Amino acid sequence: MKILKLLVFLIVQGYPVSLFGDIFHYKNLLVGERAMGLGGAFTAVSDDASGIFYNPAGLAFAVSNDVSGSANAYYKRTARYLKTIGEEDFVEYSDGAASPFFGALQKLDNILPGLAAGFGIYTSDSELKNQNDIFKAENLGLRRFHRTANVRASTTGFAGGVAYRVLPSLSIGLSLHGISIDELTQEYQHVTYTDGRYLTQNIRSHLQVKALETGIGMQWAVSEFSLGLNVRLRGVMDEKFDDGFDLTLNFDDRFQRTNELLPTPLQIFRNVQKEEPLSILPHEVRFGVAWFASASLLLSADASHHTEAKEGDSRFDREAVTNFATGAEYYITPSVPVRVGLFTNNDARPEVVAGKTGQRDHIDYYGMSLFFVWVQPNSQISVGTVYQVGTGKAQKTTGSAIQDVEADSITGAFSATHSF
Amino acid sequence: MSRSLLAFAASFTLLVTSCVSKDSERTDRKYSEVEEKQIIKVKKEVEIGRNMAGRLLRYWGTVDAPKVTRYINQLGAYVAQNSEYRDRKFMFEILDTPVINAFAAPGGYILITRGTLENAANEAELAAVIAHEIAHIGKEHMLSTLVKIDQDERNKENTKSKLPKSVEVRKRPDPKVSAIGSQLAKYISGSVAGLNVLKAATAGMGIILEKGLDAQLEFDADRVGNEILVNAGYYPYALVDFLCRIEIKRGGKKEDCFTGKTMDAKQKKSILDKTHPSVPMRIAAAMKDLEALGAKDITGAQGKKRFKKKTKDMFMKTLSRKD
Repeated sequence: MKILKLLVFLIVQGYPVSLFGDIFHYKNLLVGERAMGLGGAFTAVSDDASGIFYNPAGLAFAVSNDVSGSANAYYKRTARYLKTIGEEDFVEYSDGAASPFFGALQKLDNILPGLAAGFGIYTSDSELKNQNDIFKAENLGLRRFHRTANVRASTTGFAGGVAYRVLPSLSIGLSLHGISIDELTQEYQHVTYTDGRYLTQNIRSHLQVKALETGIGMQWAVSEFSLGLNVRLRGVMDEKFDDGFDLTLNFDDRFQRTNELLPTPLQIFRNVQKEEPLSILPHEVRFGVAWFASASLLLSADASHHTEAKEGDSRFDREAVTNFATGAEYYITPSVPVRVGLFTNNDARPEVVAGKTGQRDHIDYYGMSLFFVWVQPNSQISVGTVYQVGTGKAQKTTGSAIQDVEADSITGAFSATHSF
Repeated sequence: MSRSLLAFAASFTLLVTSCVSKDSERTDRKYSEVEEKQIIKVKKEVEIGRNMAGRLLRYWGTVDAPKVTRYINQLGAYVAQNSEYRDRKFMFEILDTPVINAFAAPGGYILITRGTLENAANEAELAAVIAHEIAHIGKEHMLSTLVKIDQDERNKENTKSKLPKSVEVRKRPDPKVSAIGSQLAKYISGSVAGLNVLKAATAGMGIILEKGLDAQLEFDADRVGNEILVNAGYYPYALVDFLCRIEIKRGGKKEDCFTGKTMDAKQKKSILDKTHPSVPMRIAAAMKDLEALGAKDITGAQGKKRFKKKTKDMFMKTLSRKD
């Protein structure tokens, strides 16, 4: 029945798929004041406090000590599932504010020439979603579909690191990160059909992961060029996943699959706690090159590869993903540099293919950053935006139908750095 | 629009408007680049001086004698009017301590101790002390010393951590200082246009309480102070008399004042001893300067009666106090 295709969203999957706040994209929020402007192409630069995130080896090439903070970042994200409810699109949206980075870098040349240390607190992903949708399509047999979705998700990290220039042109760095992933989702659905059938479902899931990461990096300066390499190894220390739903419906779509009205409503409850939902986290290798063409111009490029992670619950499986980024910094005046960046933010979920059902979304993004900076002696503030646009495929309805997805995300941020 | 967006917009607007409004207060008219630099420099000087004066006032407190304080300010203003620094603004206060000394902080803050007033014999001697401090400020002795210390530290730092070429290439252009920028910098770190006020003030306190200025700067302040004193119509030898009285008070004889001798480190017990050249050396230098000024032929006013009358309030209040 056509109407069954409207038995919408995730019900058959038994859990809500949050489009954002997801652990399947690695560049939802860019970390660090300067790095944000360069589109995250910072592995071969990383000479400020945010180097702890991109490549700790860069700390040893810092020109000065600094304290850096992203005072605030506001983001708004939208994903449009085309022709999902008949000819109608379904739109998911979320917004929120986060402080993607705060950190400090201290040169320790007085202890050992070429030694530097830093620490940082960062938010690499964040989402707050409060969505309330009501759909009516009586011509398709749907009297009313009411859905509320609430998502509170974040990936935060605390890191410390040291770097040392073993040669005037070569540094090595080590960082240790504590990472916390916390994603709480709650979704309520109430569906009534014109033929008297109804369905009520409340779904809740809570993913909590504590992990440790070790970053080992190197940076090699060759004249005005710099090459950077950072390997980030991650291990899950503790994790759990609460997954439950309460379903009440007055027709049989579960057992006989007749969709006939039942004399007594069917009630299905499930509450499961999984101890190893992820089991492992992807490791990451970043490689970057930067050209300090002059005091006024910097060009940089990065490639980062995340390995696959498929040892936990299959709904969290991640494919190997490679992303690219390039950035430029140009001083229009000695006090006003402008930074631009281009990057990819590819989905770690598998491609959606024809002939399968219950597939997760797959959306690949392209991003662009543009930041204007105002530099004063010992301090600078930057204001700008990061815009991402994505396309992909999804299966939002039951059955094997595939929808096209158009998504975008915009982040506005202002940050400050103080050098001393 | 969500609350988080509103919070973001509000905080951003607050940051920008606070910076812009502070700047617009001062930018009613356009300043030239030279004027802008001068404004920033004066601001810097005043901030450092205010911080230093605040520390001294907090440590010793002030004498609660408004009439005497007013008198000191009137006298100071008169002396300053007879100097080449008449365009500067000076502020005077009396520190409540028997220590004989006076302090000049950048920006025009001059603090005279109660001990100085108690040991001055007349208005000319007090004017001489004030003229000496005005000379320090007018000649920017403290400020230039602090700048030199700052520069030396930077040079030392640069020498110590000589950056390899791989780091040098990462240096970015030196930014142009703007008024809003310095305001922001102050917001962020207490720095004014790159020079940290707290750091400079702390270094300044070390100079006026322990290390002292370069001896040559003290002789310079004595020389300029004596010129101001003569211009103001006071008795030219007032500073010499005052210094000699201090020497006698600390156990010396009148003849010792004119030996021109230096002082052993062991003999340096008071702040004045530690921070200034010896009294005999100062007197010897001052006598040469005065001779060049033709002081012998100048009578000048001493203002003994006026001084006693004007400072009576303070003496009445502190007479019974044990220090």
